[in-house]
Amino acid sequence: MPDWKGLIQNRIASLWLTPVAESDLSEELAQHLEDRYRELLQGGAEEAEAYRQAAAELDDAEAIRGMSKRSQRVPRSETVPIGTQGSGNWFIDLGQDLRFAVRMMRKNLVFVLFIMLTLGLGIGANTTVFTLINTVLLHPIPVPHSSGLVSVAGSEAARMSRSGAAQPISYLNFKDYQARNGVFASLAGYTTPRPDAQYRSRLGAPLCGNGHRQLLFDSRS
Amino acid sequence: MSQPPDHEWKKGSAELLVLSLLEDQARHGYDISKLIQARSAGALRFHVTSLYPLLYRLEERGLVAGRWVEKAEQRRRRYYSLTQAGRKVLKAQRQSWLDFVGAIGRVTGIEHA
Repeated sequence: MPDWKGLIQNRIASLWLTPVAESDLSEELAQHLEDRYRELLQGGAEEAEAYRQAAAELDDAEAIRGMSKRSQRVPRSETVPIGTQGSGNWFIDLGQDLRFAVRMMRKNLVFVLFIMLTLGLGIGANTTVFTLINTVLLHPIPVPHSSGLVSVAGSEAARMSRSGAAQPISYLNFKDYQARNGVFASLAGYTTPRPDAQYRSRLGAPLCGNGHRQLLFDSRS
Repeated sequence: MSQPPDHEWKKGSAELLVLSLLEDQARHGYDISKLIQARSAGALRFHVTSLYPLLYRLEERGLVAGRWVEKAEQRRRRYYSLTQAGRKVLKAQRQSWLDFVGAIGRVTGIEHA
């Protein structure tokens, strides 16, 4: 018996029918062609001629496009049974996967929040570590022998913040340290721009050392 | 022997033909196709690609209902039956066809045999 279903499925593949609709349609048309084929054989036709005439009924490609009912096409929200093969259309499968993912997330909100928190912390930690490595290793301060660069900060008890963070040093103290320096190759100070210009004199440019240790002051006070 | 009807004439009357054949009993597609061919003495013949799209359109419009029927020692077949809406449309189409044929007859002078 000729493989009518295979022949039909080739012709209707472009209709994007649901698997069930495609199976039903190919079965129905295959029965029709088989009946026609047997009728031709009974009428005395040779097998090859009977096959040719029966298969010729599928030749109208334009009419084949009218074979599907709208409801038989793959809908936007089709329920896909477990184990069903993909449709072969990447976009249709992607849409189904996304809708499935959203439905599953709505069912397990706590799990979704936990995943989001984990991802957030992971991304944050990675960003922090990368920033550190990028600054220290990949883009170090543009001075020679930067590994010999040290930072000095004030440590007066009265000026220590509650958090114990290092405190800035005044410009006058910086000048004293610079004048009495016997340890470092050179000294430099820096400050951050402030809206009040009266602190302008506290801004110092970094000084480059000559192979010895360098001292970098924070003179923002 | 008369020539086969013009394609457009056949297209225009296809719905009426199919609905008429389903009036008394449910039939499968091949049965409908054979009946049309036999009752028209071979003048009308519907191929797979013209019959089934028509059946599906009628089903989509709610004029016929298709269902798979399994009989002992036979392959299952899809039978189509007329719905209530289909009966109303059939009645209207029959009347419309009679009116049309009558009008053509009066204009052309063709006597109804």
